[in-house]
Amino acid sequence: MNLQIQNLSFRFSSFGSFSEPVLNDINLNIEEGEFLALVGPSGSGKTTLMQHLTGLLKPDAGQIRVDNQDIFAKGFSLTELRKKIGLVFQFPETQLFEDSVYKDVAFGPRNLGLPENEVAVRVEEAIENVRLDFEKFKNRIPFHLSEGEKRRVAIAGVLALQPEFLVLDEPTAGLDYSGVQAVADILKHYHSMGRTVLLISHNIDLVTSLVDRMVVISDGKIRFDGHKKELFQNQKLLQSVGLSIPRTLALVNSLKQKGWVKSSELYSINDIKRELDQGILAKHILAQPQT
Amino acid sequence: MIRISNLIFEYTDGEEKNRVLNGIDLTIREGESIGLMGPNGSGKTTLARCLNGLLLPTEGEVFVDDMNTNEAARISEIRRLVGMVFQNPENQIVSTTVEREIAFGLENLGVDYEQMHEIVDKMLEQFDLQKYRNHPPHLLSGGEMQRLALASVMAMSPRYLIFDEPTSLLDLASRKSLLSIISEFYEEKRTGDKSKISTLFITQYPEETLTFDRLLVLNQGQIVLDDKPAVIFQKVEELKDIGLEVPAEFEVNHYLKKLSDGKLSLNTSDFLPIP
Repeated sequence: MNLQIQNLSFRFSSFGSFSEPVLNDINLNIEEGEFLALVGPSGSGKTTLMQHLTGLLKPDAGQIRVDNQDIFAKGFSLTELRKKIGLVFQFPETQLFEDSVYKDVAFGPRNLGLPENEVAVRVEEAIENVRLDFEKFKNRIPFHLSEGEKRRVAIAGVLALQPEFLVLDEPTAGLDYSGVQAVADILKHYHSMGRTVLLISHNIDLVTSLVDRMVVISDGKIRFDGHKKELFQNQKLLQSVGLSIPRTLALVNSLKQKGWVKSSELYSINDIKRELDQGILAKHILAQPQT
Repeated sequence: MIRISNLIFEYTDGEEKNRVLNGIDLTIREGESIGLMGPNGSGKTTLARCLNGLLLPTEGEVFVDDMNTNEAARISEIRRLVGMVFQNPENQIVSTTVEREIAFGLENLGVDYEQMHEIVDKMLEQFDLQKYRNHPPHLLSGGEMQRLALASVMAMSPRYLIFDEPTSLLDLASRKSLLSIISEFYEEKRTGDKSKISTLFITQYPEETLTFDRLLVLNQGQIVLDDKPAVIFQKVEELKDIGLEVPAEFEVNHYLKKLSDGKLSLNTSDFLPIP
């Protein structure tokens, strides 16, 4: 599925004439199979943009086209679209309501009208995909799980719809380190299955360890759309939108000066470790005379 | 001083008993800044809520300036002394304007009108909220709302401030601005200001704790580490085992030393500026 946003503008009419547009002439193309991130300060319009993707909000101007069809055109089925685009909202665990993990994850597929045997397959797969043990968790009460587990169950509920395009709004907010790592793994895995993933997050270290293409939005406008490498070279832009370079990238500068790493493009601790393995082993250990 | 001895907190869920805090002994001294980290479900928030009597111990005792949180008669004094700022400020804001929000606690204490005005003005200034004096709080941004929550708590002149993940919902710029306001308090303290506020700061971002006097690590209801942050962050493996992150520079340094048999390491000058 390819998605195009063309000249999209939106303002909340309930704020009356005081309101600035929340989204202002947005243009964005997302190709099938991409994994990209949308970042920007609170109030910049990220969540509002997300709500447009499945027609939950209707733009004042501009279009959203899915596989070259205008989603607000007569005869276009938004219901069908919502089966293909899965949205994971902030704190999705607040929407858990069933008395077992199985039933909660099955809610979506059952609503799609799928036969029960197909539902069973999807539920098991979705629970495994969020790295929870199906047998251990299927009968547990969602409200008794830890925060990280609840979050994963809520994400599984969306994965069970098997959306072609997965959009997540701050999926790691409030999670501890291992919870964040688990969500990161889930996203990597889902993308590796050929799906399109759009990640909205404040966690710049997480984002840069996962994606190359970053879209920066601020005051309702797209201020940058490109490779993270270019973004982090543009200090002026970073400052004007309140972003900073990832902590790992700042560290890489020190390591480079000492000659312990060569590349400047190390976006995660694991990237740094890998590069250190090669650099240091070669220089300081393998270079020692053999005995 | 807050003194906690053998604190056990349990809740019952049907037949099942869940022990959230399992024998906490802890002293928070005057003027100390303390970080608190722990995986989800380790009991951080429960511990915070025991400090001002929002939750009462199942066993053991919590003393705030020698007042036991179990004594119902002392609870309102304890709550004035121990201020709390929560993760989501929307949950603690009750008034219709910013000014009234700051005055709310003071009104409840029966502070006289003149003095209340003085305090409100001072807080508006200190937290950079003057221009929003008559704004409805819900139209503020997340960072501004968090500053308002802090201003309202500070208006009561607490002696202890508990922050329960106040930065986890903020974008980077708002996070920095809140942290810089908090660090100004510490600075004032060091330069001999008479306010000897002690702070307990709960966070999932390890780098936020680097400037603190002490860091506590909570796991499965027990304090497993209690030392200076820079000492604790040397224990990379141990922290990883309980599901916690260390600041990037500590992890890289640890890895460097391991790779080079201790021959190579970063200098503290290579460490990143504190956010």
